[in-house]
Parts: sequence; structure tokens; C-alpha cells
Amino acid sequence: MPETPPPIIRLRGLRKSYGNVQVLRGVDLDVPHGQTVSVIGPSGSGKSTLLRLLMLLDAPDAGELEIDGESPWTAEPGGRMRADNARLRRVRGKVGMVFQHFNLFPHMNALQNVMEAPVSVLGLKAGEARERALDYLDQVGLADKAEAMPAQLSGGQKQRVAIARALALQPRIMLFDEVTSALDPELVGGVLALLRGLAQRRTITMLIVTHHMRFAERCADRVLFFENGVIAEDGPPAELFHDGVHERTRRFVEAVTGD
Amino acid sequence: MIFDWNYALGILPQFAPALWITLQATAAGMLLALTLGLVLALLRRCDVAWVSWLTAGVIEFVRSTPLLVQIYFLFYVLPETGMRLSAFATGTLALGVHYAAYCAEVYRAGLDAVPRGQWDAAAALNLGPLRTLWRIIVPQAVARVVPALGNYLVAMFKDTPLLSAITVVELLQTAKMIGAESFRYVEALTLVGVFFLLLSLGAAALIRVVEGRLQVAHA
Repeated sequence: MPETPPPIIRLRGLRKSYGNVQVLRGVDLDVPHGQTVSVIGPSGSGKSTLLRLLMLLDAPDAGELEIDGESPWTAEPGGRMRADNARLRRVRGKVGMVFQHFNLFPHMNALQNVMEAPVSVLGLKAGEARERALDYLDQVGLADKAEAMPAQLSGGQKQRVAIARALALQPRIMLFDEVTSALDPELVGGVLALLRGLAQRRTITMLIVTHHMRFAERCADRVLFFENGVIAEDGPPAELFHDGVHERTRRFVEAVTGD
Repeated sequence: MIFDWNYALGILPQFAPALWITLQATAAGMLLALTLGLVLALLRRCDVAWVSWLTAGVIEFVRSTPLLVQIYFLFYVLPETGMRLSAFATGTLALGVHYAAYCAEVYRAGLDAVPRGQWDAAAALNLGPLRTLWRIIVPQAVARVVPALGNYLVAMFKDTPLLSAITVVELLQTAKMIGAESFRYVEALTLVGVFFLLLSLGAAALIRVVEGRLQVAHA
């Protein structure tokens, strides 16, 4: 048996509360590079919080979080987590995130949205960044909308610009936080097809929080079922969706799909 | 007391230098108020508690004391500290600092109104803190508060006559000098009123144009 490479994401006992609400109650997870992982579960179970912690938008309260072998947080004597700024930026550079509400910069056109980080973070020359941005806009099928302002785009187009924007930094990990939840039903398919294409390339590790069970089943290598702030079940989709040993997972999937 | 149109037309040219001084004071004061106001608003939001509190204190102090007192204070006290500024520069500084405090509160509202998701997106793209403010947050905050900033700037323009108190020969001071010479105040003071009315209306129209432009850019 070949030696397995170290996981690109490694979590141990990860905990996070907002105010008095314990959102994550001890999450352990190893994700090998290139894997596509769907994250499902009832709302409030901690899925989005997990992504926020992986994007390093919030600090965990306790536990270990390692991305590509590096841990940005160290616990201070008082117990609070503190990040070394340089390491935080370095680790963040390996991760990209797409949000439910797109969060495009409304005062910049599609091209400028995608170019901003390559210019200011990677230090690309404007011409180079422009070329790269156009290439990614082309990959999401929006080369002709480069000059459009976000307000002139449909929800699905906005989300595809947001995906191009995150990809343009060429992250090793991409996090998708309910990226189709704010879309009109007829626009969901295009965005999901884009994710499927990305997953098939196997060059990026993907964590996808979604309510689309069929998508989770068909496109993911692995499904995590979150409940009450822990990973209640973890396995290949076929196992979880069909002969799930976990009663709650089955009931959740049945309730969501209406089967 | 009859308004003498010929006399009014006759003294009109005498106002030209004063008008120029008033416009210069307004423009320079405005520039100072807009930039210093933004700096104050950002310091007010600083994570370091004492910086934030100190800034809040400065803003509150400047807002709660009369502009005329501040003008006199700077005019008589600054020279004692070794800073020798002209009356015009002192007056403009006072105007700028006073209105910077008001602009700071306006900017603060604008900054607070930028959705949390914009900060998240900037952080997820690994933009640094200054870059995030300068490229992402501040442009959106400013676009939201242009009308409110505009109101304060028109108000500042209308406060320029206070500079006459420290010997700046602006519009009001000119009118008083003309009156003292000829014992006719009606025409001179009326002209001052007309100047302010026209320029305020012009400024308001200009602000609407800027506002419209910004809305188009964001549409």
C-alpha cells in the first residue's frame, strides 16, 4: 500500500461559540488533497462556521486547525487564539471562498472584481492580471460580461464572477458556502455544473456546503453530515445516502429531498 | 431707505477679491474636513481601545464647542506656541477641523453601513487591512454619504463670514468696510446675501450631480 500523503486539512477538537451559542463542539477531520467533500446537515449545525474557520475569517475557541501542514493560530496563556499575521496571510493564500450572497464588490465591474486580488496580493502587473482575470471569467462562461457592474448581472452570473474571483488566486482549497441558496431555481443548474467541472479536475480540494442532495451524492467523493456542531456521519455518498447507519442522516436526507 | 441699483452695481467689483478669498477658504477647509474627517472616522473604529476613545473624545469636544470660539482660540493661542500662520490659514484650519468632526460622524455611519460580507470577501481574497479599507470599504462608505457630506460643506461655506472676526477680508468684512465708508449698508449686505444664496444653490446642484454620478456607477 502506498504511503498516504499528509492531509491538506487537519482538524482536531475544533470548537467555536458565538456568544453563548456553541456552534462547533469538537470537530475532527482529515481531508486529503484533491478530494471533493459535500457538507450537509440542518441549519445551525455548524457547517458555515466550519467554512469560516477554514477561511480564517474567525478564530476557533479551542482545538487544532492545520492547513497544508501549517497552523495559523496559537493559544495565548489566557486561552484566546492569536494569529501570527504573516502566517495568517500565507495560509489564507491557499484557501478561497465563495459566499451565499456573492459579496461582489459593487463599485467594481466583473473584471475589476477578479483582478483586484491578483494585483494587490500576488503583485501581478495590471496587464498580466487582466489576462488572468479574463481567462477565469471565460472559464465560468462570462467573458462577455467583463465590463458589467455586479448590479447588471443576474444572481447566477454574480455567483460565477465570485467563483472566478476566488479561483484567480489559484488556491489549493476552495470553500463553497451554500452558493446556490440565494439563486432563483432556474439559475442553480449553471452554477452546480461549474462546481462539477471543477471537482472533476481534481486539482483543488473542495468543501461544498449544500442543500442539493443529488448534487452532493453525484459530485462528491465524500459526504459529511453535521449535527449539533459535530460531524455525525462521514463517508462516501453511496454509503451515507443509501445504507446510512446513522438514522438522523437518513431522515434528514429524506426530509430534504422529499422522498 | 431705498435700494440703489446703480450704487449696488458700482460696488460690485469691490467684492471680487473677497469672493475669491471666501471660495479659497471653503475649498481648502473642505479638503481638510473631508480628509481629516475620514482619518478621524477610521481611528474611531480602531481596534485599539484607547485610540478609539481618544478620537471619540476629540470629535465630541470639537463638535460641542462653538466654531467662533475655536477660531479665536487658534488665532490668539497658536502664535504663542510658535506656529505663525496667516489669519486666512488660521481661519481655514479652524473651519476644516471643526467640520472634520462632523464629517467623521457622517463617514462613520457610511462605514457602518457597508455590509459585513464585503469585509469577509476582502479577507477571503487575502487583501491586507489598508488595501481592504482603501479599495473596498471606503469607496462604498463614501458613496453612501455624499449627500450628508454635501450638506455639511454648504454649511461650512455659510460659516466663512466668521473669519471676519480674525481680520480675514472675506465677503461680510468687505460689506462692512464699504458700509463704514459710505454709510450705506443695504446694498453691500444684500449683495453678500445674494452671493451666498447663489453659491449655496450652485453647490447643492453640484452635489446632486456628484450623487447622481455615483449612483450610476453603482447601478
